[in-house]
Amino acid sequence: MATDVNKKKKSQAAAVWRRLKKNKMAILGLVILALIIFFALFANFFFDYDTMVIQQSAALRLKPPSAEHWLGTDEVGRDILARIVHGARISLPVAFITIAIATVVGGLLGAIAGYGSKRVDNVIMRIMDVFLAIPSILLSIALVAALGTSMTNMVLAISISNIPPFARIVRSAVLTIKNEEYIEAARAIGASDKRIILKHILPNCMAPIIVQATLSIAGSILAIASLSFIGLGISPPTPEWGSMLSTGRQYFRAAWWVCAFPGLAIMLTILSLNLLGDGLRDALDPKLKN
Amino acid sequence: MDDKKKLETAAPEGSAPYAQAPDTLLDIRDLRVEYHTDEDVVYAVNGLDLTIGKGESLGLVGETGAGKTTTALSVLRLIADPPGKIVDGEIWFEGENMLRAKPGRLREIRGSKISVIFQDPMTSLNPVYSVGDQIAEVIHQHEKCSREEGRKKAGDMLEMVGIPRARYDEYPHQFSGGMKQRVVIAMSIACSPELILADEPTTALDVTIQAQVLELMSELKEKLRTSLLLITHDLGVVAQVCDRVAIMYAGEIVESGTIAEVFDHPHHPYTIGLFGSIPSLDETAEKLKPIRGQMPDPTVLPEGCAFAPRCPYAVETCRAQRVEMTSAGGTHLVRCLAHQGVFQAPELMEEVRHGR
Amino acid sequence: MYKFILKRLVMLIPVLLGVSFIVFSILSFTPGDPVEMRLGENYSEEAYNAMREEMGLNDPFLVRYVKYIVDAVQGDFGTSYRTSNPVVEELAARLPNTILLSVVAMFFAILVGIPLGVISATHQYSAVDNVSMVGALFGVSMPNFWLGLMLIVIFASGLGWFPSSNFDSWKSIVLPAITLSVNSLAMITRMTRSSMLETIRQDYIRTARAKGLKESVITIKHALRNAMIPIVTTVGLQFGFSLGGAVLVETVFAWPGIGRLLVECIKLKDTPVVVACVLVLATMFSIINLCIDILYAFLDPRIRAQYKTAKR
Repeated sequence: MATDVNKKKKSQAAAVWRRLKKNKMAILGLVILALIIFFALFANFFFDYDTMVIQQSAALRLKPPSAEHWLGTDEVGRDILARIVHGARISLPVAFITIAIATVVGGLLGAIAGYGSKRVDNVIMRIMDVFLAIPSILLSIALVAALGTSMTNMVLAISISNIPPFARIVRSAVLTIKNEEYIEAARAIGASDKRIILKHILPNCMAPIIVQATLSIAGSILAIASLSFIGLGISPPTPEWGSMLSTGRQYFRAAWWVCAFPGLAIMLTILSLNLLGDGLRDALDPKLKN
Repeated sequence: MDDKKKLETAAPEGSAPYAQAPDTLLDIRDLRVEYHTDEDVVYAVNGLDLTIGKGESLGLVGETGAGKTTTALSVLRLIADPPGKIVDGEIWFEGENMLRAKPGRLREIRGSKISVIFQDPMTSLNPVYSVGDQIAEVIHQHEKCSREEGRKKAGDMLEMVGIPRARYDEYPHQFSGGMKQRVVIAMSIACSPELILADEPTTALDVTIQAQVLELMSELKEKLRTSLLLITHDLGVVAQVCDRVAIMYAGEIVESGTIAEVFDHPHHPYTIGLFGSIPSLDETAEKLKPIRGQMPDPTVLPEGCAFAPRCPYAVETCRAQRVEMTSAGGTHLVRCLAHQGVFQAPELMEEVRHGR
Repeated sequence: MYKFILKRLVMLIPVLLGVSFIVFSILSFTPGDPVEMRLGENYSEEAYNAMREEMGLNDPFLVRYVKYIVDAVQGDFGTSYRTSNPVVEELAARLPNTILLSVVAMFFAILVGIPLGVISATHQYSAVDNVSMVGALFGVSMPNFWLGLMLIVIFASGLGWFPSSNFDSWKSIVLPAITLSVNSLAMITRMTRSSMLETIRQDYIRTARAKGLKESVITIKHALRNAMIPIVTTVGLQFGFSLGGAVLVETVFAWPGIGRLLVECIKLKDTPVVVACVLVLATMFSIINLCIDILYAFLDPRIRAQYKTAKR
């Protein structure tokens, strides 16, 4: 019985992968993302953190791109490429953590709302409505403003502002699945609510969650960069892309490369996640595809 | 583009349409239509010939996938391209080859000289405009008239199909399926066309409503003296509404003639099979005899007679050689080697003689 | 119909109360002493206590919140810690600039995005389609503050066509508006394309063609009109995002709007202004969503009928 289920899951995943493989754009996204993750993982192998990312050098101030410094140097003579590569070590994990938190919290809230009594549902969803009424970047800004500027607070702020969509997705999935016969059957044989939620309902709404999570990670990367850019996120000298843009602002009229390349890094990362997310949506729900 | 060229060479500029009976309204010759998908080519219509006389109504009968709808849509060049392509043939309508008509000319004909009633009334009306306005739209497109005149005429049309004028400003979602089909019919007769192409107009409706809509169509046909191409898979409907009938199988006509000719003495094994598979009330029923097998895969059509794989009388020759239509007396035509005397099929002849 | 609008307006009230409560409570826990901010460096203990009392900071949290709401409804959002001016005045000076910027940006996004999406859909897989879809992909992925910086490098510092900051002539709005519109433009183009692709396959489009209508009439009157619902939804959402995005774009271009005010006041811990800014932006966001809902009814008679019959 259990192996049957596993087999079925495996073949489902294989079918999704087969469809995804056919989508050139999604594969492009996947390749770009893999490259970014690869460089992030082995950043220290390519560029030493202390000597290339942090150490300043007056002689190398604002040098344009050259054979030695492919993307030029910044206002204190640090190699921009090295900083961008090390920047990925911050943006990617932070974005991933924020969305992981949002998925778990949002998913649980949604499951409780969808599965619980009408009253519980109402309370949770009205609160979500209120959060949805504030544009997410504004909510993050307000939260960071209140909590104070720090990495932890930023993670918290971005996580909270990403909760509502996950709650909505899981809730509506639960509501549609809840009354299906196999859930009633599970209840009839005496499965507990917790078991029904965890074993039956959550696995069934994985597809929209995966898509939303992929696209939300892209959004989170943008939010991290945005907050850092206005000085409410990660502050220098940590090589975060948004904060690189923020400090670069003072010099970029004379030295365009200090801003151009960190921004491109943000765009490329978001682009790859968007491509992958769109591809996953098509692959997971072939009905929706034109 | 290439296909267009092919068409030009098939019927070079200036060549007169070959002999056409004076009372012929629509003359389809050797029509070939293909659908190209990523993987393969679907041969939907394969050298189809069909004529409809002025004021005549022809029933085009066949199974789902026989190419009936494609044929009808080809007449007005309404086939979605891609994936569909008319690769060869001629469609003469009032002395014009529709397949070579310029887009502007085609638009003049669509809706005014030839109109269409589609299969599913639920989806063939635009949900955001009132039914009256949708009827008036086709009137304004083809006739010069003021807004009030258009409105009045569209209202007349509604009344003609049995819908009170007062419902002019209502939207499609406020109508039932049968009523929507009446609206579509009103739209199709609004510019008094010479020819109406009705693509399974009653299939999507409840059985009780079907009868009403059919009645309405026969009535209007008599009143307006319009020609009608009625596509259906229901032989009963054909008998009720049509003068002539053509049986279609795998993209070609296999038998045609007047209702009396075909219904009394079906010749083609497929036609015989069709009649054998409908229950009849007046005969003390023997068991129904469904046609065994499936329609051939339209991406790989058999070389010889397309029906041969399912035909109980087929011999080797049937599978090897293309079959032409031959006369079976009167206007009755049939595409079958047995009737050409190529081989003997006494059982088939017995069936034919016995008739229905 | 009016009943529906009225009902939606009434439903807005609890949402806004919720928003204000969240924002107010978040910012009440802001570290830093507002009294010190008002009094500056040198003050006596009595002055401190008197000020604290005057500002109502000795009251319990809920009392302060209720007081705030009661005042806010009457148009009093308190006093700025930073300038000691009424918050309303500060907002009034900045809000029109933000609205102007957002409206111009959205107008541009709609004016370009919808036609581009329609052409992409009716000419699927053509050069226009491919170019605009790749462009849209980049447009969606682009951080707008970075785009702003790049536009400044090229068009302000480099070519000198447009000013890079402040607001003194119509030229000043060109770069910030383009910057703010790019994400929305890309989203609207993509949504228009996919929605149009969906509708042009519908049976009623074939019916329209069978009537002998021109392709342009079929595309605009029959297809686009039916494709509008998801497009309008996207426009509304993007309008909301553009209010959030304005915070960053205004920072880049030193645009004297409410977004920049917000960032400045957060850094200076001028809580009353921050609360008011967020509230105003969230209110605008909600009102836009309401307008979108009402617009649905004009676009689709089926939704109109639902609104009419909905009794609650």
